[in-house]
Amino acid sequence: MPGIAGLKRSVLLGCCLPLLFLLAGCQFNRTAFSRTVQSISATFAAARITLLYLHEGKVTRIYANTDFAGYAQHLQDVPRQLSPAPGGPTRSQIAQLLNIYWAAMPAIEHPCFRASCDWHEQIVTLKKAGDAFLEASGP
Amino acid sequence: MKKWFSVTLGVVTAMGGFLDAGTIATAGEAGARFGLGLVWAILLATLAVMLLVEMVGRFSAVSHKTYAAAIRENFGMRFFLFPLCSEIIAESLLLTAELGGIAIALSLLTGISWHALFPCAALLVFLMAWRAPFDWIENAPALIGMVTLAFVAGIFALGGPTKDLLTTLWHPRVQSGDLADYLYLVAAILGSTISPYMLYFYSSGALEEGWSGRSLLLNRVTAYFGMGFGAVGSLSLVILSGIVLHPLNIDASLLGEIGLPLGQAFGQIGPILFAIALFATCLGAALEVVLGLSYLISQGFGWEWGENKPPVRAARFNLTIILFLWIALLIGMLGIDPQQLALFASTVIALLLPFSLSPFLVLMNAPQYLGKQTNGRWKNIAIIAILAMAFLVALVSLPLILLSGGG
Repeated sequence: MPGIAGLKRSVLLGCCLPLLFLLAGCQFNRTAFSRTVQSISATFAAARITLLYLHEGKVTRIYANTDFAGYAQHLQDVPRQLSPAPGGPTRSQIAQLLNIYWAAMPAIEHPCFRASCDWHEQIVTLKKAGDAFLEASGP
Repeated sequence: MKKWFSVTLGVVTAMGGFLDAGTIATAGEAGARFGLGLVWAILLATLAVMLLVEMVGRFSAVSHKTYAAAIRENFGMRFFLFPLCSEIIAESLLLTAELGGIAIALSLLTGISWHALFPCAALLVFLMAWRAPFDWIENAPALIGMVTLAFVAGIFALGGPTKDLLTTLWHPRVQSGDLADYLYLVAAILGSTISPYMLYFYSSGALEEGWSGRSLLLNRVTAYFGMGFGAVGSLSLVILSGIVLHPLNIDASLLGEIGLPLGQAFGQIGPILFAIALFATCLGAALEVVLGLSYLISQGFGWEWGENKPPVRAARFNLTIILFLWIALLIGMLGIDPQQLALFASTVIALLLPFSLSPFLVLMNAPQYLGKQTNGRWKNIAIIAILAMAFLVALVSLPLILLSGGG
C-alpha cells in the first residue's frame, strides 16, 4: 500500500522536523543573559525617545507618565536578573552594567517633564545606558 | 438600499473589529524588531481569516446552525471537549490581555495606573455584554475603531518607508540568535489573526441577525473586503514601527511604545489617537472573546443562548460571561504585562489551531449541512497548509522562547 506508506513517511517527517529544530535550538536562539540585556537596552532607548518627544510636544505629559510607569516596572528587577551564570558574563562585567543601570534609574523613576529641570542631561544618561546594554547583548 | 447599508456596515465592522491587543502587540513588535520582514506573515494570516470567516458565515447561513452546535451534533460530546478545552485555555489568556489593553489605553488617556483600571475594564465589558443588544456590541466599538485609519495617514505624514526599510520586505534581517524570536512572532501573528473565537462569534452573530441562503453576498463581501481592509490597520502599524522604532533599537515591548510613531507623525494628538484606537479595538475584541466563549459553551451543552434575549431567559449563557470575566480578573491580578500576555496567548492559540479548527474543515465538506455549498478543494488545501504552518512554527518557537526566559 504505497499510499499508507507515503502517509506514514509524511507523519514521521512532520513529527521529526520540529524535534530537529528544537535540538538545533541553541544555534538560533539567544542566551537568557543576551535576551535580558537587549530588552533592558530597548527600554532605555524607548524612555529616551519618550522624554525627547514630550519636550518636543509630540506626546502629552499623561501619556509619557504612563509610559514611564511601564519602563520603571520593566526595569525594577534588573539587579536580580543580572546574576552571574555558568558560561555567562563575569562578576566585573555585571558590576559595570549595574553601575550604568543605577546611574540611569533616577531618569526613569523621576523623569524631568518640566522644561525648567535638566532633561537634556537625562537624555544623555539614558542614551549611554541604552548603548552600553546594547553592546553587552552581543552582535 | 437597506441591503447595501448592511453590506457597508458589515465591511466597516469587520475593518474596525480586525485589530485587538494581540494584533496590535504583534504588529508593533514585528515592525520594531524586524522592519517589514514579517509582512508576509500578516498577509498569510489575513488570507486564512478571510477564507475562514467566509466559510463559517456560509455554514451558518445555509445550515441555520452555529459552528459549536454542529461540532457537538456531528462528532458527539466527548469529541466536543477537545475544542472546548483548547478554547477555554487560550481565550481566557486572550481575554485577560484584551482587558489589559483596555486598561492601558485608559491609563494612557487619564494617567491612572492600568493596574487600578483593570477591574474597571472588566466591569465595562460585563455591562456591555449584559445589557447591550448584539448590533451595539458588533458595531459600536468597531465604528470607534475606525480611528485606526490614522495609522495609514501616519505613514503618509512620515513620508513612507525608506528604501532601506523596504528591502526588509523581501530580505528580512534576522540576526544570528534572533531566529527563535522571529518564528515566535510569526506564530503570534498567525494566532492573533486567526483566533477561533471570531468564528464562534461570527457564526452565532449570523443566526442572531437571521441570516439565510440569501445573505451569502453580504457574508462574502464582509469576509473578503472587511478582513482585507482590516489588515491594512495591522500592516500600517508594522510600517509605522518599522519607520520610527526600528532604527532607534526600540523593541515595542510595551503597548504605549507602539503609539510613539504617531507622535512623530502628528504631534500630541497622534498618541492620543493610538490610545483611542487601542481602547476601541480591545473593547470590541474583549466582547467578542467573552461572548465567543459563552456561545461555544452554551451551544455545545444545548443551553438557551442569545445576546438579544433578556439575561433571565438565557441565564446560564450570561452566567458563563460573568465566570470568564472573573477568571480573566484573577489572571490579571498576577500583574503580567498585557502585551507579553497577548503575544503568549496568540502563540498558544496558534499551537491549538489544528485542534480548534480541524472539525470545522470536516463540517465545511459535509453536504448534509451545506448541500451544494460545500468547500472547494483549493480552499481546503489553503486552510490546511496555513494551520499546519501555524502549528509547527508555534511548536518550535514556544519552548525555545520559554527556555531562554522570553515570551
